[in-house]
Amino acid sequence: MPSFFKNKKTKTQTTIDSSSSKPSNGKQDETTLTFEIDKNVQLIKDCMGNPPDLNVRKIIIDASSDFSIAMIRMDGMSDKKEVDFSVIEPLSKLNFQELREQLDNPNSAEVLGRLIAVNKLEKMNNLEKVVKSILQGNTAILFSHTQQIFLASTRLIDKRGLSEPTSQTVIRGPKDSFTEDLRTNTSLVRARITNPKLRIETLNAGEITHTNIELMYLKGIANDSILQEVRSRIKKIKIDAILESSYIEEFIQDSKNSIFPTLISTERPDVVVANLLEGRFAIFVYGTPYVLIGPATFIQFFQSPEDYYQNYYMGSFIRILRFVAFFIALYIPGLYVAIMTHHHALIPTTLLITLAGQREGVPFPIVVEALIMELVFEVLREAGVRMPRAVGQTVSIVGALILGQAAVEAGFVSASTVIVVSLTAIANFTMPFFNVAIAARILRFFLLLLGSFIGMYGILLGTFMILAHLCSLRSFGLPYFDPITPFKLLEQKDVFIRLPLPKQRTRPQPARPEQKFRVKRGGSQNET
Amino acid sequence: MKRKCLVILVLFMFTHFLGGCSNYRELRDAVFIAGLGIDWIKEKKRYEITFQAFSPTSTAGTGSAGAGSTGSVLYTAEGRTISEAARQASKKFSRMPDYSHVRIVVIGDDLAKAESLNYIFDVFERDANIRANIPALIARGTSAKEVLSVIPATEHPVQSINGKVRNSSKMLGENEATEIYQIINQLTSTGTEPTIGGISVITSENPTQPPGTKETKLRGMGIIKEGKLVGWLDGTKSKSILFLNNQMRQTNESINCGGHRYTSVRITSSKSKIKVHMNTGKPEITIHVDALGIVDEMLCNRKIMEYDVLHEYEKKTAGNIAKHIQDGINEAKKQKSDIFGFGDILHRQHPEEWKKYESRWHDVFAKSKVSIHVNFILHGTSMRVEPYPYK
Repeated sequence: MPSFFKNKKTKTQTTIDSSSSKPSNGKQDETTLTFEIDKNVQLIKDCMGNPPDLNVRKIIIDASSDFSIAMIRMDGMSDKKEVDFSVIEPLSKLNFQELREQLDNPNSAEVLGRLIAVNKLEKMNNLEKVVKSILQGNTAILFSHTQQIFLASTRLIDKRGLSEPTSQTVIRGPKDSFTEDLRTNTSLVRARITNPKLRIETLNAGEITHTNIELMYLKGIANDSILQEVRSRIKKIKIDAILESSYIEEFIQDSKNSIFPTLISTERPDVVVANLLEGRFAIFVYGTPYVLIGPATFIQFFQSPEDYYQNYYMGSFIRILRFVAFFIALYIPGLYVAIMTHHHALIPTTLLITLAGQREGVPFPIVVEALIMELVFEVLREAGVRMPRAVGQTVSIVGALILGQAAVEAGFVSASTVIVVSLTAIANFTMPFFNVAIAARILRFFLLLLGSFIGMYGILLGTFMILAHLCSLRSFGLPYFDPITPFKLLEQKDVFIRLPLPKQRTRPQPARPEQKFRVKRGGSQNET
Repeated sequence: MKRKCLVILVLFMFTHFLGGCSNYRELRDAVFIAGLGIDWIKEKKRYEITFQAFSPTSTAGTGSAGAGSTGSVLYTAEGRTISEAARQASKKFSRMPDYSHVRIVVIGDDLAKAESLNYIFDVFERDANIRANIPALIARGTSAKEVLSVIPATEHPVQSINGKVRNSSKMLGENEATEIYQIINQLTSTGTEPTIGGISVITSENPTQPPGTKETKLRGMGIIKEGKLVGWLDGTKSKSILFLNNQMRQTNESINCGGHRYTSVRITSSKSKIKVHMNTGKPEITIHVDALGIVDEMLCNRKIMEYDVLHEYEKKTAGNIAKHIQDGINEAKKQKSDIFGFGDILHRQHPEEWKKYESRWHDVFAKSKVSIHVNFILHGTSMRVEPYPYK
């Protein structure tokens, strides 16, 4: 942190947060802190089980009057340099007489704050709170002959830098993505919306992990009743640990048993910004680059940010293509089996002859064949994800050559099945949000079995079941299939096709934003 | 919740039975019938059905299927009904026959002439597994079995026959693919009679084939009267059917231009209008044909740029077309079979009159007076105007 020294002065002046430092609460009932510094240090050590990464530095200021200062911090969680230069250095140079006087002063935190050049200085006398604060990376400053412990915010955790998104890439558009650090993530959004209306609220969950969760929304645009609902749902979470935003997702989604996602998870700041502006909220969780967005609609999972960054003809074309690809990923194996076993009349004669020829030497019924190939592909895919990078090449060779070609040549499966399975697999990767692709991956098997039992009738039956389920879903009480059911003509501007942005004057209504217009009257150049 | 799930699951299981005709069949357990032949065995008073199927093994084993020829297999079976014969055939089939891809139905000469065609098409409409839009042909002077037994060198026999029908109706306009549902309509209507194309077996002249190899060739359109084959419209006469049904897509006319030299005119479009009305017990049929065409070959040195020459060609072509139509109608009148559906037209145009003559329309039609007006316009001479100046 080379810049730290330059800003030393201004920081000390502006950022001491004395108002939030809790005044010593009058009760002092549970406190076990004593007036002896060594005992207090020992208390804190014992409380944590004397871990090796707990760093205790003791300075004896005046041996005669037995006045000393101790600094306790977690190594690796706090900024060593900042502790050295901003805490230890000023304190060690201090006139101890003056200091003793000041410590007895009720405004001791303010006085010390002038000396200790850190962001935030708090005064505490509750052991539990002190320990928690140390665990968050703050430095506890203990003085002799006082119960008060000062906590300087010196938190600094190693984090990786910004990198390109790994699962939601675009060709044109921002290339940054969220990281594991909560503050970095919120800053990426703040940098894009420099407006005081952008509000962040801190919530905590995880009985053991005390994970930081932050709720972000745009005041005046986000619907208040939905925000109220989110807060209450997050507060109700009683789980020991929150390791990823999916933990939150499972607790707060409306339908806990649905296969379809009812919250968007994204690693792209621009997606979060766009959704905040449509009146949605975002939930940031410490430790994961995936941010939750809600309330979501089904259509949103087909909207890639790139749709808006490219020419709207292209955007619309690609979006329709994506719907087709979803249909392929979901239906093609089922339709293939249904037609090949129940509806031979639907296949053009010449193709039928070719297919019949291929099927001649294949030992398994077509359902079994399709199921085997689908499962083999899923295995390959899972292997591809888990496999160490160094042997990654092997998967593609084994998958493409051995399973694709050799299986056909050996007469295990027919060539048409391989085509169908690979088409399905490729189509599945077109989804901008992979959690909706997961739904297609699983439902595909369901439709495949239905199609093999009762043919096209089964496929249709399955379709109705899926559609009925989709229409019944709610995301924070709002219909998931909005604006298709209930149908709203004006909302179709951004569903299957994307109209040019100047024409999309009103905000999309699915999230019930409080502000109607986003393009002001006369704000579009096309209107005169 | 559990109860609800259970109810839904049970209801869902019931839907399996609602499906009704679930016919799970693996492709390798089915044999696909491509063509059906129906013959009448006089002595036994039974139908003989010929099944021309796609050979299942012809393309097997290879990963790259679809190479060239597709094999064919021929089976025959007898029965008092077509369905019975089909069931009897299971003694010969190793696989379940699948009729959904039947592409052609060939009717034996004996069946068409001696027995009635009225009954045999019922199964095509009644059975869900076979279509009614299959073209039918009559094996002219031979049996359906003979026709389907002819195996062309490169194609499946059924694909070959089908291709010939399609080609001839498109290029020459002398043969029309009459589909089974049309035949049924015409058989049941009192004001019209069906025509069914004829196909016969000839000896191939192809030098690459061993001598004596058989080959199929389309020949004429059969005139059906009251379910029986009564005669044939041959050659250019059969163009009358396509002209009057507005089915003519392309044909050509050879116009004499002095001596034994001819000029070929391609007719590119034609539209006919027919009016029928009764005059003192005789139908008067007025036919207007508007046709367009181009000169596509000139074998004589005429100044085609000149209006007179052009006009002469137009008149001669119109005369040719009128003659084809006249010949066709004359033949139909001779057989007392209204294959052009003039009765239906009268029915539409003068329903009251029609009722009087409906019962004896065949005889009334035979006495009809026909006037044909053809308006032909040459609208081009293709890529050249004058013929090249030979000496």
